Amino acid sequence: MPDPFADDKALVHFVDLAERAGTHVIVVGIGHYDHLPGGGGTPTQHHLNLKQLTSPPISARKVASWFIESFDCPEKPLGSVSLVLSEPAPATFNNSKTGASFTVPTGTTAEVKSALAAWVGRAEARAESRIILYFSGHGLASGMDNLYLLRDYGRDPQDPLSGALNYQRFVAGLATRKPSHQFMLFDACRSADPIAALNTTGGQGIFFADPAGRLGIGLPMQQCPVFSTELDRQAFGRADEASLCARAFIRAMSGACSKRVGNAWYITTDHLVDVLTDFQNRELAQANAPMQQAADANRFARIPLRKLPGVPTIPVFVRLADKTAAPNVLIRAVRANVPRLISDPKSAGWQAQDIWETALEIGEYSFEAAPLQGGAAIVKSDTVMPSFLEVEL
Amino acid sequence: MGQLELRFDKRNLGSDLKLGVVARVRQIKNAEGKFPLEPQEREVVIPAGTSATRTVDDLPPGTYRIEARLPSGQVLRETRKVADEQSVGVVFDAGHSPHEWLSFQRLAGNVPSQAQYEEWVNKIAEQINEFAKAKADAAKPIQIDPATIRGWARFLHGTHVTIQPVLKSISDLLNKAKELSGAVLTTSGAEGENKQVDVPPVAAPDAPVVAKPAEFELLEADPAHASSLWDAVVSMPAWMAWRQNTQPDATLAAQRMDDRQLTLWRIDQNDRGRRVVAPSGKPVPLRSIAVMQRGDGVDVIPLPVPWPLTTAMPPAAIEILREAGTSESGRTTLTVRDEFVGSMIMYLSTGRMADAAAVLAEANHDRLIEELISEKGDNPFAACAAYYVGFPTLPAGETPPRWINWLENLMDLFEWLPDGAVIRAAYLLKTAKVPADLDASLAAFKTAYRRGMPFYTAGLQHLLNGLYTFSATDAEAKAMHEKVAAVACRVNPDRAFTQITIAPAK
Repeated sequence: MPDPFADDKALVHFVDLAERAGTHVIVVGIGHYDHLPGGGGTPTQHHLNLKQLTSPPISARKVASWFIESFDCPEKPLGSVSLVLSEPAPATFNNSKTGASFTVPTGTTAEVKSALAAWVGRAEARAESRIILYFSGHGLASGMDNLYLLRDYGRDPQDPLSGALNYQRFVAGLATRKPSHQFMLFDACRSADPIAALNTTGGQGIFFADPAGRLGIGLPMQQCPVFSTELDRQAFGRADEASLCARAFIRAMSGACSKRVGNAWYITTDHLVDVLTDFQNRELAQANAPMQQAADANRFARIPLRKLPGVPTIPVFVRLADKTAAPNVLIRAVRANVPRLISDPKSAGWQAQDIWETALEIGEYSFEAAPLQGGAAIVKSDTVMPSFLEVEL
Repeated sequence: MGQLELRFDKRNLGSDLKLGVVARVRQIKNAEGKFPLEPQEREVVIPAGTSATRTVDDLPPGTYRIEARLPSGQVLRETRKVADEQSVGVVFDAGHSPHEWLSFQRLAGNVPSQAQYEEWVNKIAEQINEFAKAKADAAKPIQIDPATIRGWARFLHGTHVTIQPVLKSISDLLNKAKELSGAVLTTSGAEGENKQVDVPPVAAPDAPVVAKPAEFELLEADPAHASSLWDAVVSMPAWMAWRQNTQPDATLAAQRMDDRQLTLWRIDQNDRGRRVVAPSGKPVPLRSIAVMQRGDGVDVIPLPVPWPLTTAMPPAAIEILREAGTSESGRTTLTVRDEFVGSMIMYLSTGRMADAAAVLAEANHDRLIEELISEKGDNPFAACAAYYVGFPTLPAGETPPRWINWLENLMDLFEWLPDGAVIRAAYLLKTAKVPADLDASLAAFKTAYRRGMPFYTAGLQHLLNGLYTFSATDAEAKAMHEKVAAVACRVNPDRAFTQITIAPAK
């Protein structure tokens, strides 16, 4: 078998699935833009007041690492993860599972095109394959059209959008390819811009739309693109941190978006938009930010994104009514007499937090805040179930 | 075994909405008070109104959490204990509508309750306080009294902010606050609170080209020339030229209600039997179009009428909600008050497809959809909605329901309906097994284009992608795709029904 890493510079994780259908993931984080102010390249006059971003590469690393470390699916196991990172200097990525280190593509149009082609190429081994795309970077919108800007946006002064991905053409082309389950998450602004309205056919479609591409495949195409924010709205992320959407997506995939189908648990697209919205807005509210970020989808397919090997774990957020008591209480969750530690001020490196986040299996728990010096504990019982639970003690 | 009796309390809907709100029933404790090994979990659709209930039976004794998910995304939760042979009632209440005439819009999630407004504005006031405190030169925090908060609620709504979209940033708000300081609140398009006026169609056949569009018009278009709309909606000059040669729609009547921030147009279908003869010799309904002023531009909405097609069934009420008067900002939303598929469309409109699919599944379970879209062809618009929701939400590998077969006839039975042809084309493209399926798909996409703009946004999306798919190999498909793409960038993708915004000429 030829070395899969030799032909695809974006590939950072590969599992030989032999004849099995699997899950193939590509993660693209475009933070550095050569031709926007501060990018170091010839500045484009069509900068649209867009700035350099720090969050997308961080988000992309986090999402890619989560898939490599935590994505287990007995039905369609992880087949590959590829990564494109636009940072000021060529980026390296360490695969924590294999220990291998990679210098990944920098996010130019040619590099993204090549990485996307290799990603779909791997998945085309089986029509039952599931493909997952996560994109983070600048986005523009006009009606049904979206444009996602790549590293070299603005390089060609005659056609600055040659450095952008045309969403409509991209999804239409991808829909004619073999993998039958296609999920995409676009974590980018959808700010209305006249440049998008005037250039509906601008940007790269990446995939040639071949009507005959799926002839003979018995499975219907199920394609589900999701946006991190609504039309005419911005997507948020703190500088030098993963975006709200990236964090929400990881929580959703970890268990928050689980649904029981028969005797098994699945992560599905069913309520993904609501779950992403809940987590994004929860973080904004926690930061006292006066804005909201609702995820959105204007086309849909019911796709299982992951079959869980067991019972899901659900995010649980615990806080104290009296924040100042944190250094003096032990916080834990108890189920069937088995305690799960949430906060122990005596542990090494302990730091007070406004909210402790943990993940617990579905079921009923007794949450306790017990004074270290003895005395009556504050106890509350509650049931952990999707998509998350908030407990105040 | 026990049972739950579920109802969503909503007054002033006219009649109960049989399939109203999606609810999830989850068992969280068994009879012994422990989390069950095999907890019950059901998804049901509960009626919205004042009397009808939905029974969830055969429930093992235990404690149940019931979540009602509204089209707006708001989730209401109740917990109940159920004992053997016991029936337990649960009534959800999402709060009062700002006005009786907004009751349906409140259910659809298009307007918040007054209580939500005030709570939200209180939060904003807190933010302003924080902001003021953070400024070194801020001597004291800004004080806002409750009366002002109510004023803010009106102001915020007037500047197109609703409880859901909220602000882009605090700086936007603060800038507005500075502008407002000491100023009288202004509103647009208002003639006083809670005004209700009957408005006849206002277009005149020989009207000259006017500089400013009318606030609201109902126009009719000849279905034989429906494809001319593709060119008409790409610019204001093109629109005004097209508009000059069209007639007011006399089959519809609109009733206007407003409370200064929100304007509701309730459209009555007074004559659903009117037909014109198509080139095929068959009688077909005229196309009706609602047009609303948006600044110096307009919103154009092809109306899904006659709904239903048969006059043997009562007409559905069509409502168009407009925020912020005739200003450039604010949302426009079309809803259809159909007792069976109305809520499915509400969920479709807010992107909650899984919930829309739950309504469809319940309707299908009750064989309602089959009744509506069978060969009788009573309600092709409901049939189209069923397809747009049903097909993408079918679990993989599951046998398609029987109604899928009837939907394929939509193209042939209703030669005036672009969505019928789009559905046929998209279905063939998705499931093509041999090249002949692709040929048929392409032909159906072209037929759809010639029938004019699809009534549903999902139809326009399918048409856009379908024509693009064939555009590399078919010149006519390429030309059609370019026209559709020019319209698609003016369409609000977050609405169930196609709604085009034509910006003013610069």
